Amino acid sequence: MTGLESTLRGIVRAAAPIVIAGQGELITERSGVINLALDGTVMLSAMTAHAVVRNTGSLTTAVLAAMGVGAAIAFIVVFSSIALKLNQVAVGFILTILAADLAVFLGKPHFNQPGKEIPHAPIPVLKDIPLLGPVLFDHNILIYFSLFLTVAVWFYIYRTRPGLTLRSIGEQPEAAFVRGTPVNLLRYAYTLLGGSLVGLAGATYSLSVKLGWKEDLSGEGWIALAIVIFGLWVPWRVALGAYLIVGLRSVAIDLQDNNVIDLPSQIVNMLPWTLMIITLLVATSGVLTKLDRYTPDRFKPVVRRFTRAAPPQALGVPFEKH
Amino acid sequence: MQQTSKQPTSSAWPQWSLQMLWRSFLDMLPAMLAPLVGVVVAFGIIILILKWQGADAQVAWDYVYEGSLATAAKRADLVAFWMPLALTSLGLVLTFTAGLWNIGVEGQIVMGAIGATWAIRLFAESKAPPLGLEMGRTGILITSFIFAAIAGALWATVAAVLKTRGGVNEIFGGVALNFIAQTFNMYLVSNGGPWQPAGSRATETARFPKIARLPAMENYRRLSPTTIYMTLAAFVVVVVIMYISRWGLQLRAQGKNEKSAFLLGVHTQRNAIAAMAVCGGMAGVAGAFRVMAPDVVKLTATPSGGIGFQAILVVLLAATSVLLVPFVSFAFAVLSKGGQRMESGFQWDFDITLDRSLVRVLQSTVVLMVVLAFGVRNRFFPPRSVQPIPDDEEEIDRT
Repeated sequence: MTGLESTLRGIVRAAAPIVIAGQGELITERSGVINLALDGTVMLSAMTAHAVVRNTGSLTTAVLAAMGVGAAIAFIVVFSSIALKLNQVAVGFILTILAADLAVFLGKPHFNQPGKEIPHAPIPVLKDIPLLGPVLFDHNILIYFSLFLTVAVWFYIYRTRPGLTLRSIGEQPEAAFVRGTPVNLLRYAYTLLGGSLVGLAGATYSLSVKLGWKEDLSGEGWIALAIVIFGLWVPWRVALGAYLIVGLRSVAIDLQDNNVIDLPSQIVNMLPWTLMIITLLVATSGVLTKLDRYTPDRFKPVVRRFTRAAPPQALGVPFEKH
Repeated sequence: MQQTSKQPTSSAWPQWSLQMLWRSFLDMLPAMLAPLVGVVVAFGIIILILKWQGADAQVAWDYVYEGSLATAAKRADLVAFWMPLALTSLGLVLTFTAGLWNIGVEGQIVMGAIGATWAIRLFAESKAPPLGLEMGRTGILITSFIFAAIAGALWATVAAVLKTRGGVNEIFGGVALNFIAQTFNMYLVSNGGPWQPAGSRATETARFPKIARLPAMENYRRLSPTTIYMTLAAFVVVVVIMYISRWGLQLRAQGKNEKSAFLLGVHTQRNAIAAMAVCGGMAGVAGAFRVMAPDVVKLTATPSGGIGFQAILVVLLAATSVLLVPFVSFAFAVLSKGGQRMESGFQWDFDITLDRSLVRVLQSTVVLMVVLAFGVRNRFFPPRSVQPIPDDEEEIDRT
């Protein structure tokens, strides 16, 4: 395996949990709900998966338990928002702190203990393709899932009818409701789905990417949240953001290890946040409208496709029937 | 409909009766019960967790008491922890009242700590202070507090301007700025960073010179009275802002309904930036408390120690009431300080591993349960609202 191949392979692997969590949060936010409990959820579900696999030895149970934890936390967020009419940001924030502390507390006996890894499963023929083979087809099932998920979420949201409904309840819930869409029911469903994907991301950490339970997972969930915003709620852009950030991180570490440059690794750690702020600023500042105006008509469709940028209009706004 | 048709005559009001008192008591009951129920449920959950771990709840509480309140020295440590937490919470009351989720408070504390350290490096540690300002101890302390306040306020202003001018939600901006501040702090003190003493491997600056340490109390070397006075002053200021000043009223108005407040002539954007800046300034000073505390006197890798997020929980639990903040933050401080003793106590006396993070679990569980209890109350026992008389009914009455 060449150096480039192994670097790219490492990026695909290390970015997998962030991609999964990001797509989960994207689905949730596209339905109009902010699940701010991302960071704590990743930690608690990672710890859960590790603890379950140590106690039962079953990887399937561990993955399901982690997804259950994610769905449970998401349920509290969406239930308190829709049924109890509470501020979903407040509840999400409390839950992220609670889940993180709970993970640290409950995970103490499992801290730094050997766990079990998801078996490596290279895909027979595809793995021999030069470059693409080792990079994409020489992983375990959770990493494949992260690759598949991006395509699946994009296809679902933009190419299917239920996906159109999902977008509509995040953009114009009133209009969707008038057309007979059960807005709140779907928001429950998509938040639970998104939450269980975030739980799966946690399991991907503790069963594969950062094997075992360590408390240094804190921050990964926030990065996933930042990348959803950086990707402006578009699946492929979210995935791209995840690969970009993880890529920069690993390149910086490589360069530093080889003493090529003396770049403080902190600069790289600041990048996702700086990128996120800049992207949001650009997206909301009207620069893009101007760009659109000055683009020759011939190129407009292409440019529009790449610059389309708007958060779901009803994001974080509870829907009430009148 | 039937109720509105029976209009009270003017002479009938106010007519106090036992029944009315009873009814108003019944009206207030859910509001008083909600937090109580929430706290009871939260403690129930924690007691269950303790039982499950084989620990006795009474013993756990005894340890927490022992670690925070039992002796005068412990109480002094408790106050030393309480002051920056209370100060940060007081600042957050302003932003939360204005409807702003200042999650960036953690980063503002860090920037305050960095600002104070910078001032100390400039004026107390260097041989040639800028502008030839040779200052005595008071001068240096005041300068570092000013630097800390400015640093925190500026960091908060960035989040505020991103929100008001750039349309970046203050939560997302705040999270980003938190991480940037923490990473910047790490850069300063780790791996040969500019503020790490040469040859040191520890991720912290050198200890500040004597001249830059907060005065400690005579008997309790870890508690500085300065922090108490400053926090008290801040409490008075915030109470005045919230209950007396016009600005507090404006903040409240825009917190309830930003659009109406704006239409009524409130400068909502200016107020938002100002509230964030004041809060950031107070958080910055809290950060200065943390680094200049007599037992710390250096910039560490984590100068805030998570008190920013704790302060957000405090304000959520206090339902943004200034008067409740001292009590809630005190309770949080007791738990935080007691957690350490609880962990070591169970370890030594009972051989039970009980991580101190349990007290933080308790803190956030209490907040979650109280918030949920209020939600249940509003949903299932809604406060009786005064219904305006519909127009058509009025017509009928007149005819």
